[in-house]
Amino acid sequence: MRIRLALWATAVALATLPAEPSIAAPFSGDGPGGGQIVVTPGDNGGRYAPPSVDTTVQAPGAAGGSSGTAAAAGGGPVCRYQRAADWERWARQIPAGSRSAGVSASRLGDGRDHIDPHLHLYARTCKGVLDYVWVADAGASTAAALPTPEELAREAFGRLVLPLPVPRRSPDLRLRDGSLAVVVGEHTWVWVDAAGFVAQRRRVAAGPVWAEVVATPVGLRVDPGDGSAVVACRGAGTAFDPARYGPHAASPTCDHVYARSSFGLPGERVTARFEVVWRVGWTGFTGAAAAGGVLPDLLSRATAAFAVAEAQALVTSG
Amino acid sequence: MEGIPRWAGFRVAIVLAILSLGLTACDNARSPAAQPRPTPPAGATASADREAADRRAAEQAYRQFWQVSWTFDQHYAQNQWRDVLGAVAVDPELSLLLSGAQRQRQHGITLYGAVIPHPTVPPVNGKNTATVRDCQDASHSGQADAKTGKAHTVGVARNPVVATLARGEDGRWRVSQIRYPGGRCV
Repeated sequence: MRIRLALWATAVALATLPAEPSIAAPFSGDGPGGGQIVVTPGDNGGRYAPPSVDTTVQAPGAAGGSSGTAAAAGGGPVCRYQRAADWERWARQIPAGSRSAGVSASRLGDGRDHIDPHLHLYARTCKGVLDYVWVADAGASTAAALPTPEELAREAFGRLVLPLPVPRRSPDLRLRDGSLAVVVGEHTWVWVDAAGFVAQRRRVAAGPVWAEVVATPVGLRVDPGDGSAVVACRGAGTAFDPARYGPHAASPTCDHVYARSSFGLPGERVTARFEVVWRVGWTGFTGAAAAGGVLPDLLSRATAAFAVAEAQALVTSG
Repeated sequence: MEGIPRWAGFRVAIVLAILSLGLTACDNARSPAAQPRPTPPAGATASADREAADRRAAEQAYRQFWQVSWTFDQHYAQNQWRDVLGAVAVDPELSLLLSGAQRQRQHGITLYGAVIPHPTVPPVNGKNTATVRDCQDASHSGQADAKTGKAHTVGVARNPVVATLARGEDGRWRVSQIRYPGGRCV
């Protein structure tokens, strides 16, 4: 006897295709550094704050300091530097009142013509990201110019590269119309790729002074997008493994049950938001003593949009 | 075994059901109690009104600043930039933005998305400068390759920003400085 499936609306076939999460950014998740976007606290537009002082290098590049590459002291990314003499002339004419956060006015000045003449403006490209920095030339007095570890920690904080979370879920179905779906009433497992859930470090140094910032992922928060409460997960969540868990089991760490279909919602979909919380601390050395502290938490966030579908599974016989 | 579809091999068909959503009628009709209020002195009222208006205007100008400054280079010809930005910004921020956009264009960089301000405006007290503190959501915005659209950077969800606004002779508030102080949003 053949038992037929009653279709209330559009019948769709189950497919076994991987999820394609939509990233919060409207572009590919692959950044210029090879698969990651630089999560940038502060001036992520790169045009609102004046250039900071790069204390990790001195007169980079070829003779005359026109261009070249340099690695941040302590093993940071290799950055390309290109002298920006025209912009430097222009920047020295910016009217008074502009100042870089975290940089003392004595170094950068607080207005027209007060910028230290031993500082020069360079276009710095690290991991494909361009910004402009002041770099001290070889004639600068390093003793007077040494930064504090706190300043270096802020510099390192600004250069942290956090991987964007890659949202996963199970069940993860593709409907006939190509849209992705989970199922009403089922335990939906949610997690993010473990590869992006590991501590990230950035260390910068200037002479004997150094600071190392460590961002440690401490949890995942998932807003299921159906109006219910945010789910606080342990760790990165648990990837569903059919060899270990039954098809209807609840996730031990990060789980949500959608109570109703997404029919009638905008786009007939819900948009779930995945947030990884990073705790940030730093350690360093003043040149004479240890230093350290805590920096603000960071969040890296991605979204995934999918349908929540009603399901009926019937056994066929005969 | 990440990403293995959970129901592979099952003969399952999925249907989208038409759900009738129960609509809940909200009865917000309330009769305000007619209670007499003490009447403040006329001067105090005018002062409070002016303060409220200043703070509203400063906040509005700040929000407009972000809308305009994030996209002006995509919507206007370069010879119009200064006029467009000049409606929402003054030096030194105006000059920083103009030079920043020009440099980014030279390097093939554009901005994508939008920052979402969550500003608070402390009392203005009749002054011609105001400070706006913002816990901005920058997590849907950043720098991208202008040709391919590929994102280079993305901001964070709770990004502290402190802005200084100046009231011009025309009475309009404009942003004169944007600072990223670090630390936590409060």
